[in-house]
Amino acid sequence: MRVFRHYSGVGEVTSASDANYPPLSPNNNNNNNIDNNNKNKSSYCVVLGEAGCGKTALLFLSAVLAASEFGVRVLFLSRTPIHTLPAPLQGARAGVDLLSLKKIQFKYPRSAVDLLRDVASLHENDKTLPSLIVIDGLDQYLHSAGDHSQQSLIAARLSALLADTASFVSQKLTSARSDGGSSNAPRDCQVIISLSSEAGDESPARGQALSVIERYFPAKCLLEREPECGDTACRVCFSGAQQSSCDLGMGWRLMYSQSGAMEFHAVPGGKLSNPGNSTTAPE
Amino acid sequence: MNRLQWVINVTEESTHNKHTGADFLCLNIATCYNYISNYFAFSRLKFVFGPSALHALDLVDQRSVTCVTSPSGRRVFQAMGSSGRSYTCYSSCHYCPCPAFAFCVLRRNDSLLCKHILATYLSQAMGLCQELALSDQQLTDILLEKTGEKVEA
Repeated sequence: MRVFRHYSGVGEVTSASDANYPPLSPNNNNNNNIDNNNKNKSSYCVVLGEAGCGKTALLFLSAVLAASEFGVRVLFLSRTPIHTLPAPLQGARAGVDLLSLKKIQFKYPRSAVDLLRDVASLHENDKTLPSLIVIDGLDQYLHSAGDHSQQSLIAARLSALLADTASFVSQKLTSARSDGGSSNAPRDCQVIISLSSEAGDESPARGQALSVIERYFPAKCLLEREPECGDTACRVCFSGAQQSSCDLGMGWRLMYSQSGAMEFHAVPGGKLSNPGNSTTAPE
Repeated sequence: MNRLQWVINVTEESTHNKHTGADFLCLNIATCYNYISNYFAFSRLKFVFGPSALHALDLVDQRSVTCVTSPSGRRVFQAMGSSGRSYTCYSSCHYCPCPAFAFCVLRRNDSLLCKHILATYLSQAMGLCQELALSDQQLTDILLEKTGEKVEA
């Protein structure tokens, strides 16, 4: 040390800063951050399905259940306003506490820029931080954003901003909880977005935007029509993220009854009957 | 590399000043140890991140990374690129609006990070981030900064 002090005048970038360098070994603090990211990633889910297969109803159902059963705040973002409760909910309306629907905040940003602004400004009001952010029809925002390369840039920016915002909200909720908040207060902020996948649209540009989104939203929920069961049934299965979670790798059949109510039936072989795009983790 | 240059400078300086043998040896061992450990750290960085490792270290040396915070607790990093343009990187996931990230990471998927994100990590680890406190509204503007240009362009 004596020697170092002796020569400290030689170059200012030298001994003082060198002594402060932490080892860039695998067990430094950065890794903790990355681990936390991975842990939280399963909270971000993208719902994929053809137009008209019930994605909006499914997302709305998630929002209502989160607000009524878990009592958490929900932010529902969509390009087209929802004027009436989706049919599947009308049947179950009696069971839903309508007051709890006030916990759902609806916003209808018209463009991708407005959507980004709504998400980016969430931190400005910490009284209304949502525990669930739902974006219905992300593809509509991407279509309005320009050509294909522009679309995947916007998709990346939006997905990253959503993931970072959700991570920030999760931190705030966790600290509010440890500061003496009620013990059943929500811990994590989850994000669900839906994306319409046109049948037969296998264009590389489309795949590019989707692969960009999947980078930030590793859990996928796929909705596929089941022609053998008529137009009123869809197969629902999850893929990606950690397979250890009991929800992933399992299949459901979603049936719409004539009244429009939704029914879910577990399909044990769901993952086997869909070898193409389910159950294969991207890693 | 600044550090290599420094080792050379110090060695020349000490030879020039004709220091005692013990002093000189101590210095050399200390600097060599520093240099070697940095060299291995750097070669590991370079192995994993490719040429952006060197560029990222340049950004760190120039103190190009600023950690912007607001009263809400939201935190975001700004890395000043070599062109003088600043890029906003998020603290919890990998994203940078620079062209290299769009091309090498998002499109071709052959890099893990761009130099700005790597510089952000390194500056954090070394405690070399500049600090900037802004209002919540101003932080929102920083989060949105590049988007307006991109979409309207």
